[in-house]
Amino acid sequence: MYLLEALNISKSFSENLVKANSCIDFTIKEGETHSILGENGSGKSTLMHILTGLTPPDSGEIIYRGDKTWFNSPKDALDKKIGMVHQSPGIIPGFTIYENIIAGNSSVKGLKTGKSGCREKIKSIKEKYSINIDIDKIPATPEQKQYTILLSLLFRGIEIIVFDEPTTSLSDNKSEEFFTILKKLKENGKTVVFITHKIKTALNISDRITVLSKGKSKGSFSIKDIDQDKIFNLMIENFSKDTFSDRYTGNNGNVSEKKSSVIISADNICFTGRNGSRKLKLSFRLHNKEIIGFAGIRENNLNLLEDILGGFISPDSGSIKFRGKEIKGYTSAELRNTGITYIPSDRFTRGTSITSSVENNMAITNIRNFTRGGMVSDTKLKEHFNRGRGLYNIKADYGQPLWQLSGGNIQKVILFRELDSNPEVLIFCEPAWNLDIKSRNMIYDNIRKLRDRGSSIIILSTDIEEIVDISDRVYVMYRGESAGILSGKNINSKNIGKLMLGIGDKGAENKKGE
Amino acid sequence: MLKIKRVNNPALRDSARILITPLIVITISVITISALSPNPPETLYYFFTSPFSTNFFFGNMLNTAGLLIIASLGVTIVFKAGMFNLGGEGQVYSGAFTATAAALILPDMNPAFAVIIILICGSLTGAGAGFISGYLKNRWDTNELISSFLLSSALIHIVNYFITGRMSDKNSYLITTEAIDKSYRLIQFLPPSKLNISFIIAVLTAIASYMYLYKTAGGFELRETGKNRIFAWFSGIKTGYFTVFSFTASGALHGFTGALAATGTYYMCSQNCTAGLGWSAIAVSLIARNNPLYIIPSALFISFMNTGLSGITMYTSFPFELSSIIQAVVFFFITTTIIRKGDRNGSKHT
Repeated sequence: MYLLEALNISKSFSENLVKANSCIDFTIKEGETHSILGENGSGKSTLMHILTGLTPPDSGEIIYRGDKTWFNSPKDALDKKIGMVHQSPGIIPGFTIYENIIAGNSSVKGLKTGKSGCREKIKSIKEKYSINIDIDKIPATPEQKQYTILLSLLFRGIEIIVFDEPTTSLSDNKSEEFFTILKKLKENGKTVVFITHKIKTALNISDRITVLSKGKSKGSFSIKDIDQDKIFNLMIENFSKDTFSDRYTGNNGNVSEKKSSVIISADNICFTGRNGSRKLKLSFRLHNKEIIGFAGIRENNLNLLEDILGGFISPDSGSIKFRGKEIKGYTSAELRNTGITYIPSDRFTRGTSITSSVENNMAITNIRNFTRGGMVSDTKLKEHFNRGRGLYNIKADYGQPLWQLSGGNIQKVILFRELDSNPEVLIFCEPAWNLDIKSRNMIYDNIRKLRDRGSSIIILSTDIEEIVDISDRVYVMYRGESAGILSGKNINSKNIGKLMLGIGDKGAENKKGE
Repeated sequence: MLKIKRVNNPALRDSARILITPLIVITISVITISALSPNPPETLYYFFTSPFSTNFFFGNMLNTAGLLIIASLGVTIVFKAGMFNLGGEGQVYSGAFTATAAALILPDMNPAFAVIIILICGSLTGAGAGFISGYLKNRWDTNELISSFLLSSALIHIVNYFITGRMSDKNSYLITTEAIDKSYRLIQFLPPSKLNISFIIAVLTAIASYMYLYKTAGGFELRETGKNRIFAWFSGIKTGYFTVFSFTASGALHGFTGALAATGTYYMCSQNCTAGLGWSAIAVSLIARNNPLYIIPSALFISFMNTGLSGITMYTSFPFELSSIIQAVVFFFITTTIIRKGDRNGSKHT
């Protein structure tokens, strides 16, 4: 009954050991419009790349029209009439749309099909699906490129068309135009798979919806059986195992309401990447003895903020003041000397040198203090190492290369290095990175202890549960801006999740009213 | 990213790795010589014994090893900082040339002073060439492989311009400069071989380099820069400085090699006199896995190979061209087997 079934599909990318797809079941019915919903990095594109032959899965099987199939390349999939329109599709530069369509189209090989025949065929396709585009132009915008590929697929007689976030680069008008084309495709019996992270769009155009999150399928639903709230809950479920738990209210319940002194004040810090793709605009305050959390997705939000706070890039404008002193543009080393240490989310590239020994990783920020008569003193290094090992219960030997340690122990090495100088401010990215529950609690305890001793902490995390657990105040980032500030009882996964997905304050207010 | 370790003792694993390449190289050479030689037993006999047969061969083997040691230290210091210097050939050659030129220009003076000035001139030339690559790398992230290689090729031509032109010795049948005055030559041992004090200087330089790289804070920072540049920068290490410094030091060591070769071995700068030194130095430091102390045996090994090969062309009918081909095969083999993915940034070296 299904046109295409993908069963138990798993795929991981060895370079980061992340499971992009984990045991996903996914089916397509003939003639339906099927949306795949999920946050960035939930595995939508990977799944579609597998179904269109671009990436082979690690395991699982694909059944097409009742037969078990295996796609070795996009061409295999095209031969089975499955094609994909990518977000920014590759086209042949310098060729017009028409030339792009007939180039590489096996049906045009040789002299059998005259050029005029092709032209007419394309023209009829354009009319049939009301695609308004001049085929003698060279496609320049992403939209024109997408249409070029779409026409090319239709020209080949493709039956299943996969769109990857096609409307992200389109204006509202153009989006409407695009949805008309989708409707025509459906009328003409084409099967459409539509990748998106916009819940409303998915609800408007599809017959069925499949929700993915963190590489797992949360199920497929007919449009009649589901609504925005249900989808939203499925999408954020993974963010927090214990979905709507109230926040942990530690000893310092409402720190933000106390009139405590401001440690860091950031005013209107703006950053725009070279091609305008990375954008950030933000103001925030960090008070004495306070833990503030920044929640959000990595892309264009947390990663940019991390780069700025960590001293890797300098914002274009605005100011960041530490106890009234301008620290904008300080390098990581300068920040450390000022009393602001930073633990990067990328522990391997920025946070450690994994091929170096444990003691080197502990002493590197301050190596000149471990010398005697100009030579690095093994005795001093060893003393330092033993102190760190005792303090944090690190399971490691002197001289052992860091990569042999477990994630938790690597984390402890970093903590020891960055906290040993008793920093006034700690910027901690993804504190629970790669840790089991026990190590997590150890880290959280350390963070709270640090606060109680008088430091202030900034947490950047994509893990909502973690943010809820340890923050006194939360800034939720959406599209490079703060979508809302939560404090006290308002800090819960639901409020954060809604703000993160851009559903906005309205949603949060509603829940409060309940 | 994380690999399962197989051998627990790192020292054992290191020595095993270091020994295996020479063993394979010897095996390959034996097989090739047996296949190509009209009289394999005789040829193999001379291949293994000729380096030790006379003062001439033995002394020359040590002398070449000495030059290789210093040049390889130049390769190693850049490698430790996470880069690669492919400009050794030109840096050595230009060092030899400026040293010779200095020796010819210098007025009569205390020979010890003169030799020091001459050696400094040679080193500075190499250092200048290295500095340019390091500076470009640091300033604009120019690929150091390309910049060092191209600059070195240009230097070779510039030197040749002087040697064949205004500085050429009209009375010599060689394309060369005039000979360096006897008083400005390095102290010789084991005549008639070319062995001279530069071998001792080389061993001392290797020990000094080892001390610098592994015992001082500067060496620590240089190595950390090579292991993970971003983390090193984050930790407050002046990575830019070490980029420029390691390249400059590398060039200086190469130039120094050239100066020692001119004053101790050739007594002049004839065309392409140091050809091959820069490349062999890369092989030496690769076999030594870029450890300054292992460079000493490694240089002796490569020098032994070269001497053995020239021995067989002298004592047997084995053709010179074939022995060059074996050298090329060996070099190719060493570089391709040792430089694997990930090795370039020194990620597998401690």
